[in-house]
Amino acid sequence: LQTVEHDTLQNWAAFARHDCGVRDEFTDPPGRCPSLIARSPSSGSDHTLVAHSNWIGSALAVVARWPDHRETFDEWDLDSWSEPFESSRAVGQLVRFPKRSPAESAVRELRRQFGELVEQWTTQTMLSSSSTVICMHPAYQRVIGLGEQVLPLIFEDMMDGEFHWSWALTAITGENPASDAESLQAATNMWLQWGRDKGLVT
Amino acid sequence: LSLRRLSSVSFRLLVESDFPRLKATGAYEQRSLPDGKYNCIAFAAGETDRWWWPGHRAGDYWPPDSPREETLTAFVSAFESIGYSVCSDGRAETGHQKVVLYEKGGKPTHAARQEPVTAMWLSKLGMSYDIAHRNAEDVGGKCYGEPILYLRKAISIHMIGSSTE
Repeated sequence: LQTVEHDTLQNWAAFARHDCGVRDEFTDPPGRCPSLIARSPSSGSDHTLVAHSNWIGSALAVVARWPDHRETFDEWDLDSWSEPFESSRAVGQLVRFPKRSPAESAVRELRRQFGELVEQWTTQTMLSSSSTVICMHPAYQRVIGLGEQVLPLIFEDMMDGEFHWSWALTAITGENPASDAESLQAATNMWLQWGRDKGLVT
Repeated sequence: LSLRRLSSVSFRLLVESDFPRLKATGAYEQRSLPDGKYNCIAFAAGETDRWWWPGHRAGDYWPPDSPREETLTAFVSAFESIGYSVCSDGRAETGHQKVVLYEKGGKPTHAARQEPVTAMWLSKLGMSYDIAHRNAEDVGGKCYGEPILYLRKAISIHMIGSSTE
């Protein structure tokens, strides 16, 4: 793991080009996270170097990781990148990992979108006792609009302690295995069992 | 509410930004951690394992003989089903447990229960915290509207001792 310090994105990019043979530039997901693809001088293979600058553009962090550190990188993920850095001095770690496939990028984008919607929904409904207000909230409805592809993320959220997804699950799947449930806990358990039976809960 | 998300919510920030009257008096305290399994209506009815609401979502509980509609009449009926009857105000009365209903825009939004010994009001704030506050009006305002109706039921001495249920 190599640590670099640079004042600006431009300085870091110059470093990356000079030392790592940067050969391409793209944005993934669109508008969120400028990234650079580089060719490793040691292995000769292509890797993605991820760069992020905050909204005022005064701070920059650059992190990439060796393939065997990739799970650590995933923990940072894009939400972490969107946090403004306190210092205007750019500090980053330069590492390398393989370029993501389109399928992997789509999954990450879905996860990001789901996370943003859930955060909006939580923030704006957490003081409400009304099931109607909770389930008709625009962000909750947009989660429903994501369709069947979002089911694994909903089940993941239920495993994490969220009890308010039964309405969305019925809307997406057209099924209601928890119709007899007299509590949200019971409904959640029934839906998780349904998800296991369908292979959607890991 | 997921435990992960709840851990990022500051109790004081939440309360004081959404309930300016609580911030003004400072007379409130946190009584629980957030819990999305029950809501204010259940809590006022003395339950902490069900979500009381006259909705049609799997897991919503509503007393079977009460109208399943978001009206004050339906909410009064729900509390009547567990022994409450409408009364004139929220003044503490020895031997009685009181509940207050809130309304905003013509729809019930919130309920709180009076703690018999201290006369403090106990509110579950949606999916989040239980709090104790001095006056029923203290959680009124933009979020829940205003207290609209009080109910009471007789309780015995041993019930007072376990009033927080």
